Amino acid sequence: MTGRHGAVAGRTGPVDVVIVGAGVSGGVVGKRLAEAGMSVVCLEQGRWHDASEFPGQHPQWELVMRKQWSPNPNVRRLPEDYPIDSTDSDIEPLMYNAVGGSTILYAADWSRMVPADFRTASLDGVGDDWPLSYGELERYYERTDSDMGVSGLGGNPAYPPGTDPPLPPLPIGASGLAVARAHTRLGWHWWPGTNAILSAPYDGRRPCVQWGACMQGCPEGAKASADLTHWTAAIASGARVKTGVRATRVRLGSDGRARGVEWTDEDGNDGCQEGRIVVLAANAIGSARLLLVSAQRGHADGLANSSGLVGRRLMMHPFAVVTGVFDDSFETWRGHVGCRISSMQFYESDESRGFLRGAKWSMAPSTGGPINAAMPARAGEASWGEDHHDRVRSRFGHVLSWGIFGEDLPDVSNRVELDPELRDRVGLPAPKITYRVSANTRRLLQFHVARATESLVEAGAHTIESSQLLRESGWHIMGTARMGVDPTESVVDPWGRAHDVDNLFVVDASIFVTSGGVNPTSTISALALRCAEAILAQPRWGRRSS
Amino acid sequence: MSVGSRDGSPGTKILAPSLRDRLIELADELIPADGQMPAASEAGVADTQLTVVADARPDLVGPLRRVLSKPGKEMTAPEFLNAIQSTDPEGHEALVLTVVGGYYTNPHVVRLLGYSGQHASPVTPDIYPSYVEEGLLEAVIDRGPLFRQIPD
Repeated sequence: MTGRHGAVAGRTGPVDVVIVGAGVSGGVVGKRLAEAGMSVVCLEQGRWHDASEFPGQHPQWELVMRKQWSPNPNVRRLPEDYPIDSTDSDIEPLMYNAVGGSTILYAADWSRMVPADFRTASLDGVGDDWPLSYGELERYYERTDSDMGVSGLGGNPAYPPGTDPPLPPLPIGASGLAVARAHTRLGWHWWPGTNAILSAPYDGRRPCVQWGACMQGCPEGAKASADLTHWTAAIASGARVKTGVRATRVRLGSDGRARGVEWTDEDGNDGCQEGRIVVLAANAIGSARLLLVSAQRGHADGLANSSGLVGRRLMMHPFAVVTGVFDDSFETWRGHVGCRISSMQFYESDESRGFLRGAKWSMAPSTGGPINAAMPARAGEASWGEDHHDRVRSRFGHVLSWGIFGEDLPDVSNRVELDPELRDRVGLPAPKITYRVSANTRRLLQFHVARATESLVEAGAHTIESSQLLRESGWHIMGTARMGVDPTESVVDPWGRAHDVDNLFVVDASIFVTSGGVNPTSTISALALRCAEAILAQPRWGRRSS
Repeated sequence: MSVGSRDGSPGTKILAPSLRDRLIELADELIPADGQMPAASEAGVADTQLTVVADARPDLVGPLRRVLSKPGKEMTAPEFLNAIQSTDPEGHEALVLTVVGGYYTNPHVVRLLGYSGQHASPVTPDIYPSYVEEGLLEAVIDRGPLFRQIPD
């Protein structure tokens, strides 16, 4: 039975493609394959959201963003979430479970990796080279820019020349201008932000109205989230999304090939969605977890894990924040959250700095309302008693922050495993993550915090507050089923296909080889589209079921 | 605005009168009056605003009751707040967020702050932005490519 949004309940017959996870990577693959005529069913543990549910339009938004709309599933604890044991991690992993996945709550800062990010071993002697180049990925970047409705300005000298984003950049405002002028005086790079947020009407969606609450869901639908940009179109082409079901195991047939995905729904019903191709798109914790719980005959250590690398090389982009307090008010509770301006001045590697690799800086215009001024979620401390009002008056609307994502180099000891005790609500082992920030990364962040401080002081900040390593910052989860050519050193091939199971694909950020130092969703989407095209290019996987 | 415990306060639906009195005492320590800005209790954090917070965040009520029930009358309010911050961080967080959340969702308080609330205001892309007019981008472009050229 197919209902609202193409939702499907109960059991469905065999299809061409079963996708696990309705986030952006699943959406990109589902849309492309459905439009090509393949039958697609997606299993999603979350549900559809309507824009009217998003709290940014309600006065209590800053209260609920700390619980019901927290990006941390261990804080949120909704029925569709699963617990994560993060006690042995320096960073909390963040995500959202819904149709649209984490794009429901992401900032929509839409940055590409640069050419050198795909060659860290060759160029800098760290990490590993990717089995593809920026040039090979560029056309997929451009296509996903178009699908998402990206706003930005072409010609950024931090990147090779290419096609301009489809929409003009969002305004940088007085705050962006102040910092741009400062960088001009310093001789440093800056560029208007590239955001997956509409600056003008596009593809039936309305542009940004500056709610300033992108990270609690865009009430206007101006922020590109995969439910809007991909699943709606996929469903129009016949794809079906089964919500409220948890994938519990990838089932293999007697021929050793994936036969389908077993699931359990909210009412305790279970079943197996059969398909000729299985695509995992459940993020780098969820997909690794599903491979590990799918251990079975011939795959004792987890499915597709002959390399021993499933769950290994977890990367989470350690994040620093530098906040400047200004005399001028920038009304920073308004606008889009993504990125007002960015700087790649210190992005490329320079060994003389005492570390390798680099970081991108993004200046977010919206730093929340008065509750966040009183209880800063990022840099800065609360102040009580007689100093309280002075503190809030000086911060509310008067602060600008550089958010700094440092490149996180792969380390096999940083990992996702199955927790021996913790279970989710259906009894499936919860993921346990072990993650330590490296000495290189700590030096990197220290350097960048110092430079970002110079930036904001030059822009006129009278006070600087910084957080060198924010614990609640694991938005960017990558690397736990890396791609590669050698089956002994990678989980999937350069097109996302598991070396060990030839009709099993992983298409989310699990397949990243290294992390780059930028927000990854643009690269996740481009890689997923490339994987979808690889599936379509194989005649044996062409359309068959209906 | 209201101060002090009285029967019929909306706050007594959430907290027993004795706990509500304790909340008032601690809330005014956290956010005292200052110039035009009212103290937390005057802004109703133990009255109407307490119900606003409890409606939005029912999960706070349990830890709040727990922390307000703790012995410690012999301590000053700052001493008590310091003590619970280390011995019951969840309770401390619940107390602080209840006070701050109630205070800064009070319409009178946000008016005094000049906060218009979150509202829709259509964005207008710049046709000829100041940064172009001032040549700020030109300076960036003139410095040449930042990325390393890598053969494909």
